[in-house]
Amino acid sequence: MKKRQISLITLLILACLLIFSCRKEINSLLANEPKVELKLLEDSKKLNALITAYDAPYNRKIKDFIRLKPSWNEAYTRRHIDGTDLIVVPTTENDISNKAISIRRLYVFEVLEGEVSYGRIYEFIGINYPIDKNIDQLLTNLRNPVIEGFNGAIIQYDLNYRRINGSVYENGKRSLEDVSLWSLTEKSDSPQNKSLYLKRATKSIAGKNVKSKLQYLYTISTTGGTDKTLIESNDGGNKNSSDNNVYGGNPPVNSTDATEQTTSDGPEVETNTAYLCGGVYPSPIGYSYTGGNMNLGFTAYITPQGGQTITVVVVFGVACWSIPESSVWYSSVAAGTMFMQSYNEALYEMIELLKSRASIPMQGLLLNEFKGLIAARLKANANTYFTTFSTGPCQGIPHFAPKYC
Amino acid sequence: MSGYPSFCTQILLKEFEIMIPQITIQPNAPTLLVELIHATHRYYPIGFELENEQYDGFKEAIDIVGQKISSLTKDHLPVEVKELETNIKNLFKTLTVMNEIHRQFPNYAFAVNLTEEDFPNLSRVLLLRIRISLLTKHYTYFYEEHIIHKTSKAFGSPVHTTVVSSELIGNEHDPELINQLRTTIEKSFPGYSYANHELLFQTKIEYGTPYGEMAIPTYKYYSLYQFLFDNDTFLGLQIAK
Repeated sequence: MKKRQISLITLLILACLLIFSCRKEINSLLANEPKVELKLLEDSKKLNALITAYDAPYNRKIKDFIRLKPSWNEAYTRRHIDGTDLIVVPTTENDISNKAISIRRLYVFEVLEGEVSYGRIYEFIGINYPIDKNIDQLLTNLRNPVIEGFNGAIIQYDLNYRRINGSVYENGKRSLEDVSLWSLTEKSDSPQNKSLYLKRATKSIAGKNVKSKLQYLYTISTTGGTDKTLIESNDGGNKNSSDNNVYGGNPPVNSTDATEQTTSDGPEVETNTAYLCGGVYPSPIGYSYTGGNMNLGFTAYITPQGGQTITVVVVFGVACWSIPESSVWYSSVAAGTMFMQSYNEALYEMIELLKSRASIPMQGLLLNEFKGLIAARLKANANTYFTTFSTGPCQGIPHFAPKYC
Repeated sequence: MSGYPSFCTQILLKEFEIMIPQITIQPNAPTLLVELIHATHRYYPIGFELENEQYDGFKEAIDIVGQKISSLTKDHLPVEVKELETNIKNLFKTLTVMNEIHRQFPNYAFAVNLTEEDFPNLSRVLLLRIRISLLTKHYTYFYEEHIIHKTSKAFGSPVHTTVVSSELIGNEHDPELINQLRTTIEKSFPGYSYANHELLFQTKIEYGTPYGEMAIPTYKYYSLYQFLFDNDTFLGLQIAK
């Protein structure tokens, strides 16, 4: 009789163990998440692999480069209010010491006409706003300037976890752009204690980039507790320091470090150049490689001798270009490199042109001149008259945000 | 001096109304131009304060390009396009024929590389461009001559001039071959007719933005060619007969 009781108790414990170890799978079954079509999931993996592989030679050289790992088996779908299907893939998250703050980091792939065409990493930051409870509302309103009740920020990154843009929302309305996360060592603290802030980059009258703190979020824990299992370092091994799992993305191209150790008071001044270093991923179409970019161009601050600074914006909202495959030896990477080279040469010529002028022409003329210079360099570098550069959107391929050096 | 008759002149004219000859003028059959302008108005919001993307006709043009690119990537191009490519290649057997269907514009495009010459101070390339519009039932072809002045540079790049024409002097122009090209195109695209490049390049349209161009308020003129046939960028363009 006693033996039977012991067996029953053992069985009960085993059943409990089984339920406990399978709790994740059971939860996901109960949550009834829409499944992701296998083809779309595979296409998302391919897009992610393509883009991370393309920049890998450069990224490998960056100290502490963060390579996030999407948790593909937890992927699910949502539909944006504009009708676009989204494939949402969770990735690693951090422990947050401040209870008023909640953050979720997700991969989001967009499906257009049945094809995965676009991939981004998003960080949703809630300030006295529970992100987990409202994540569906945030995903379905991803690009909306109004998200009812939302207080916080949405930061957008490319698939190499480099920031593209960020917006702050107050009482459901988008109130600020050009926002990012900033991990900062306070002057008075030990180097181990860093705090995460929302920051905003603006331009001074002299054209310098000025950073200002918007909101303290939390102090980053350096004593473990972070989930490091889903993160890989640039050399393939797992990182030991929890710093490497901090929200906020990888450093911009040609920067030495993502985190900045600086004093907490006063504006931070930094300088950039406008040369193109990445974000160029042409696709084979017919006998050519065609690439689409958005917001391609630059803002120049020109100060004539003894005069006031003039701001000149030469930006193509979208651009579409193509290079015949015979000119680039049948390689998408070679076509991308050729475009970047041509763009940078055209930019150099444009700067020389602006320097040489006594007065600055109207914006329309500048845009047209810059377009002509890019088209000319592209033709010359490809050694053919069959390259194209137009300032409208491409059909049938994704548009990428360019990366500047 | 005003172009209108003064009050006194009007009275005098009324007095002698019978003596004034009356003539009726009908514009000299500009059917082609009217058709092309009609097509431009159908697909672009010319003269309206609208973005192209807000105009139904332009949305149709976007769909046309989308379908073309989609059929190209899926290798489902219409039979007549494949047939035309084969026929052009047969016509210009010894020359390189480039398929430019990938161009992000509502057209089918081909080019023939006619001549390439290199001299110490300049290089010259002569192409025959063929453009079949998908916004109007017209096609065009023209010679495109590129001259690169190697010794004259502007901001680091050699000076480049492009001449477009439909007549060439010398043995590079074979009228019979061109006649055969027209027959070939019209056989693959029944109902299509030829539009001369000069008319297309010289006719400018105000207050509109062609496909693939960014709307620039200060940039007011684009040619009919840019609206209906292609959005290529010509460096140092000269238009010849």
